[in-house]
Amino acid sequence: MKNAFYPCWLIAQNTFLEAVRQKFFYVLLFLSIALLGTSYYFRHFNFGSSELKFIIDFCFGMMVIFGALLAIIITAQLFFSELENRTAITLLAKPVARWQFLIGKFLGVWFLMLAFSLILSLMITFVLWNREQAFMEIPEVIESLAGKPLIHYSDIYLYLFLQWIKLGILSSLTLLIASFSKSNLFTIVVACFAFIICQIQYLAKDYYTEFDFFFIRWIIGLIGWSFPNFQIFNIGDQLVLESPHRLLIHAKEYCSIILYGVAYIIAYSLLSVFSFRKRELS
Amino acid sequence: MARFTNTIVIIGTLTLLSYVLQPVENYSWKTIKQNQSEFNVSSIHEHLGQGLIFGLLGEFRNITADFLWIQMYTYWENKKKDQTSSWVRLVTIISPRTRHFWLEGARIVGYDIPYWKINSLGGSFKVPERVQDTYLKKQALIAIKLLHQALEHHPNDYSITMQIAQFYYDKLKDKEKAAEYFLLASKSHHSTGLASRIYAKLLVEFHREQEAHDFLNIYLESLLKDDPYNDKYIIIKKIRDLKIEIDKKK
Repeated sequence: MKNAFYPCWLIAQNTFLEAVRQKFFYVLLFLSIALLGTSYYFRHFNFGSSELKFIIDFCFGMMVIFGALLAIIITAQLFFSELENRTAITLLAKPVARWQFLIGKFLGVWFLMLAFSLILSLMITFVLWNREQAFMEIPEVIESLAGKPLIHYSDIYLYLFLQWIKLGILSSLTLLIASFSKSNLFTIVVACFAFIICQIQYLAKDYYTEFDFFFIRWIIGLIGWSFPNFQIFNIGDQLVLESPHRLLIHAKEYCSIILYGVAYIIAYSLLSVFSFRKRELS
Repeated sequence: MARFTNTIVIIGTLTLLSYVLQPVENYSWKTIKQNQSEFNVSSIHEHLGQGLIFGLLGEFRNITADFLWIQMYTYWENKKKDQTSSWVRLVTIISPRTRHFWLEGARIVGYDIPYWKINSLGGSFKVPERVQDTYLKKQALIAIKLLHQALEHHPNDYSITMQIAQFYYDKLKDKEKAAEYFLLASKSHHSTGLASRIYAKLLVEFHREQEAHDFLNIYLESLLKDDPYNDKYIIIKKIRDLKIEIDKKK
């Protein structure tokens, strides 16, 4: 079994290095960091919510949007570059099975997502820590906190882990689409739509029974029942900042979210292998 | 045929997986959904078109609300009443946890919009007082409705309850209702002495001096003795004045 996963590991390492060298990754990373810096200046506007809340929302929003874009585009690009450059044919001619190739590709991209999210999380931690120092000099703030911390830094990394799982689902879903799709562009467009569907899947599930027309009810019901619910991972705005609305998520609930995400990653990966098994590569 | 089989297998597997994972999903989704009021279809039903768009944004929803709030002010500056009230509503739907949106939104709806309407009809000198009164009351009722929705997200909030009381007092001239909300505000968390003092004043207006006297006495007892910023001296003076008035009546 160790031998079976070794090629996966080698392909994953290679994919990760290849992805890290891509200009697109640097552009998105630079954009994210630049936007993170600007969030610092947006605080001068009166947005109605507190300054720290604004910074947290802004940073997490960036992590979600840019992370999703990166997961979709890099997965599709790396997969199709192997097919177009015919390196996949050479690779699969050696004793590397198709499932090993796909799993290796997925793991490489998933590690890239971890690196991306981790860099952003460290930046967020720095920005928040910097602002917290300024706030902790105000006696009213200290008094209102009554001994509680203003920012729960562990929540940032708790959220990072959830986002990493979510991006893993998105990446494996993109791989599934790529496994039967003929072009890179088609894969990216369909995966973007799938991402949107996953974000509003909960509405489809709640709402489909209210449609009178059977066909529409059936279609919306199918969408609701065949896509994962991404909102389950979007709890960032209820974390980090000490407030009456802070979500106290228990370990069991947290584990259930992870289990849910991992189950979808495994399912999508297995389905990609199933779909890719007889694909003509030449 | 192979492609058709693949599609059926993929959709079938995913549907089955979703069914199997339903208890796992529900376990955490229940808690998350409860805490996120905007996750419920019923709360975005009126704005389903827009609500759907913002639902897509995930974590960007709050940021979107912040920027829409700024956008709302461009309508406010140009005194576009329909767009202003519609965007106030939209922002509060997207981000119901920000109390500022509810309060400022209700103030715009209740205080600004009726005067824009009156000014567009020729100003307060031209428009008959009865018509002006109708506009003011209509908008105040809309603002109160908005604030009642705010209370669902911020139960027992002092500022929101005070604002409802003020609308009843200033705009609807319903002192009984205003007193009811001033009393509620005086019992809210982070309440200041203002709500209690106004409530006592209203009781005096209703010729219930003894009740006002007793109410202020209870309030005085609740004040922290070592807090230099509380209004205990004003309250003591009010109690004395009331006592004189009660004695005079006797």
